Amino acid sequence: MARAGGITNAVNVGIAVQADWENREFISHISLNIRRLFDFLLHFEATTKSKLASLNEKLDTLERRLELLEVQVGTASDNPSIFT
Amino acid sequence: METMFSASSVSVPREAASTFDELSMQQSLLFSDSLKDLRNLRSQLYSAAEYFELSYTNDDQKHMVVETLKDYAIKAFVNTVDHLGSVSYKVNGLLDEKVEEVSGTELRVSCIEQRLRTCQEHFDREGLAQQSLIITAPKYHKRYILPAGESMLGSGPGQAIANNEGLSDHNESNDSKLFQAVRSTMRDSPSSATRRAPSPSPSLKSRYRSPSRRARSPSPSRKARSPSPSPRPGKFFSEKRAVSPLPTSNPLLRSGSLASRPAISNSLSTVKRYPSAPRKSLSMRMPAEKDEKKEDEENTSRSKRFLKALLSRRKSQRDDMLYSYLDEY
Repeated sequence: MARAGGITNAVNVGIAVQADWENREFISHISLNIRRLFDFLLHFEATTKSKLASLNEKLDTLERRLELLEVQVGTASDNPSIFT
Repeated sequence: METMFSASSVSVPREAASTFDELSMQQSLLFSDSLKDLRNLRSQLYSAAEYFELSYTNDDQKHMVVETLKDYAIKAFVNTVDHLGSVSYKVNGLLDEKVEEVSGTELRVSCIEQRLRTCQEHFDREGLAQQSLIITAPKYHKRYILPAGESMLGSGPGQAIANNEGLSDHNESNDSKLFQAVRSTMRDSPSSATRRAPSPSPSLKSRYRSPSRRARSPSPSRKARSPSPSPRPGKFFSEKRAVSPLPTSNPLLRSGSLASRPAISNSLSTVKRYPSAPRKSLSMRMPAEKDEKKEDEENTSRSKRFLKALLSRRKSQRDDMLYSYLDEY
C-alpha cells in the first residue's frame, strides 16, 4: 500500500512538474511574442516618425516655394507694365 | 434611348465618385474603430487579469482557471496583433498617400517655376532685343571699306555715300580715268627709293598700293592755296577733268619719290616735302634691275618737262585744286 501511495505521489509530482514546464513554455512563448510585438511597434514608430519628418520637410519646402511663387505672381500682377 | 445612355454615362462617374467617397468613409470609420479597440484593449486586459487573479485565488478548480487564462491570453494576443497590424498598415497607407500627394504638388510647383523661368527668360530676351535695336551701329566712311580701284568721293564722313550716289556718269568716268592714269604711271615709273632699297617680295606691290595712294603729304600748293577750296567734290571733278591740260600720266610725279622732282620742291620752297613711308614702300615694290636705267632717264626727262609745265601754271587756281586732289589720293 505504501508503495502504491509512493508511486501515485511520484506520478502526481511528475504530472505537476510537467504541467509546470508546460506553463513555463507557454509563458515564454507569450513573452517572446509580446517582445516581438514590442519590437515591431518600436520599428513602426521609428519608420513612421521618419516618414512624417520627411513629409514635414517636404511640406515646409513646398510652402516656401509657394510663398515665393505667390510673391512673384503678385509682383508681376501689380506691375502690368512688364507685360507690355 | 440616347438620353438614357447619356444619363447612364453621366451617372457612372457620379456613382464612382459616390462609391469612392463611401469607400474612403468606410475605411476611415474602420480605422477609427480599430484605434478605439486598441485603446480599449488595454483596459480589457487589465480587467481580465484582475478577474483571473481573483478566480484563481478563490476558486477551487485552479486548473480550469489556468486553462481559461491561457486561452484568453492567446486570443487577446492574436487580437492585439491583428489590431496593431491593421492600424500600422492603414497608417503606412495614409503616409504613403500623403507623400505621393506632396510629390505631385512638388512636381506641379516645379512646373510652375519652370514656366515662370521661361517667361522671365523670354522677357529678358525681348528687352535685350529692344535695347539692342535702340543702339545705332557706327557708320564708317566709305573710303575705308572700298576695295582698291573704286572711286572714293566725298571728303567728310557721311558724304561718301551721298556723293557717290549723286554723281553723274561723266564724273565717274573722269575719276576712273584719273585713277587709271595714276596707277599706270605709278607702275611704270620707278622712283629713286627703288634703287635704295630693293623690294623684298612682289606681294608688297598690292599691299602698299592703297596706302601710298591714301598717304597725304603737305603739298606746297595746298598750303599756299586760298582758303576757299571747292565745296563739292563732284563739281570740282567735273570742272577739273574737263579743263585740266595735264596729261593723264602726270600724277606719277606727285606720288613719286623726292629725288625725282627736286625742281618743284626747290622752286616752291614754301614747305619741304618729306617722303612718307607708304611712298617708300611703293618704291620698294619695284624690283631693282639694272636695265631700268634707261627707263629712269626717260622718266626723269619726262618729269622735268612736266614740272616745267607745272611751274608755268603754278599760280593758277585749277592747278592748286589738282594738287589738292592728288594729295588726297
